[in-house]
Amino acid sequence: MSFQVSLGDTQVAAAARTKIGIRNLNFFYGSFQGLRDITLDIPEKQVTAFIGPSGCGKSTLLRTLNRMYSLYPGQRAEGEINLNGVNVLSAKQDLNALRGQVGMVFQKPTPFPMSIYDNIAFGVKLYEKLGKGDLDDRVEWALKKAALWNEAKDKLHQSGLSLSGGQQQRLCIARGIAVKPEVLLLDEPTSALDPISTARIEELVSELRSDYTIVIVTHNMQQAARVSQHTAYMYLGELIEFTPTAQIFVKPRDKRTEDYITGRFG
Amino acid sequence: MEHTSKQFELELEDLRSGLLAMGGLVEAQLERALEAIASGEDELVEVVVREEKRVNEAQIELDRKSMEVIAKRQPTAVDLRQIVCTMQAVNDLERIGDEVKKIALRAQQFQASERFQHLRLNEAKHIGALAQEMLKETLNAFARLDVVAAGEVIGRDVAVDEEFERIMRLLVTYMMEDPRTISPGLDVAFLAKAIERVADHAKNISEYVIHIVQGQDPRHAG
Repeated sequence: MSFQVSLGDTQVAAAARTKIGIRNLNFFYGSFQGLRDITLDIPEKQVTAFIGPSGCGKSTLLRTLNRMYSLYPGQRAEGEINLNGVNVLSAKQDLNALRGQVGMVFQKPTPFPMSIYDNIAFGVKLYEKLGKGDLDDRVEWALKKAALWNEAKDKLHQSGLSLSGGQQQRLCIARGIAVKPEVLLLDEPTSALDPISTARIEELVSELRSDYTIVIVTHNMQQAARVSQHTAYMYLGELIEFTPTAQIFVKPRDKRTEDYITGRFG
Repeated sequence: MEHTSKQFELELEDLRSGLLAMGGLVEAQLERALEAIASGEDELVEVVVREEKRVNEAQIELDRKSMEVIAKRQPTAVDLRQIVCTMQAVNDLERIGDEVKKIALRAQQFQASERFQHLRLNEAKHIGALAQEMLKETLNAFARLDVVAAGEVIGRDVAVDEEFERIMRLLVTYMMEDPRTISPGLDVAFLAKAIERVADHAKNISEYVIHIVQGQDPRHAG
């Protein structure tokens, strides 16, 4: 992907490969249309943020990327979502394989009611046959990546639910990356967390960016400004503006984006 | 469209009106200083020196309020530009205040010397009026966020610069002819320079107006 952004008189060219190419995506909850003709290129190994008022479709869009909606009858998507050039909306798409490629972390920490170790090993065992030693290594690797190893290494066999909220969320991120996905979807990952835990997660997102393509939905615009390289503003199921983050919070292109981010509407 | 938060709306309005009040203070100061060049009244100079402290206080107060709004509201886009540019404009107004004080003190000094009185009165009056007009118009442009008016102010700075150059050439001619005019000549040069700087700061403020409204920083564009 290559696009040109006008910042005053200087032309800033940002070039990055497209990881997920969304084309003319429409989404329906039964007869209600949740997304309207979304076309968007999500760049590889960068953080893309979706912002917008409640009900604008940002979580819906996120949930189409790993076809989470397929769990619910009556919900359907039309158009194309090309992950590495392959349309994941195709009926031939293997959903388990897709979710191995595209991991997800939710708003509220959702550790399984099992040990910290098993929380992470559980998913890995679904996708790979690893020996005990390799599995131990993978658990340690994921916990280190998620910046939880130091706090968790002495209690790997205690329940994941014994951790604090922020630690639980980092456990969920560790679980998400343990299967080595290519894309990580974060749906309001810090809205239930205190400021310090939030800062840790944001730090983590910045570090994970070098290995993963990350898409984050957030209500907190400062968070989008801090962690993402590109920001998409959505409203009533439409994509209003998709702009480099450094620009959108200083000089958005669209008046509707400006009204939203400055708190004149929403 | 107004902010959902009325309080935020009030805070921004408070910054706007604070800046304009400070501008009014500085305008009055410039008026007094230019008057002092002509009349040489000690009392006027004393008022300028005293009032300059109020200008400084206004700067501290507006900077404090701006920081408070930034900390509280995390402003973005046009709001962010408005607040940052207000802080910059406040800085320019304070600098104008300094220049005006210089003008007044130099005017007082002049009274001892008869030489160059005609230059002081006529030339300083002319360039002073140009700068005064620019200050007034730049504050109007800021008050109304009027990009066209701001553009006009920026254009006018050229005339002030040319006027300053002209005064300098005139002075150099005098000083070359008669070395005894060097000291009073330099006094007039410094006076003209201070007035020319007032116009520069007025121009800066108009550039902030354009930055706020259009989102593009016009400084150093030419």
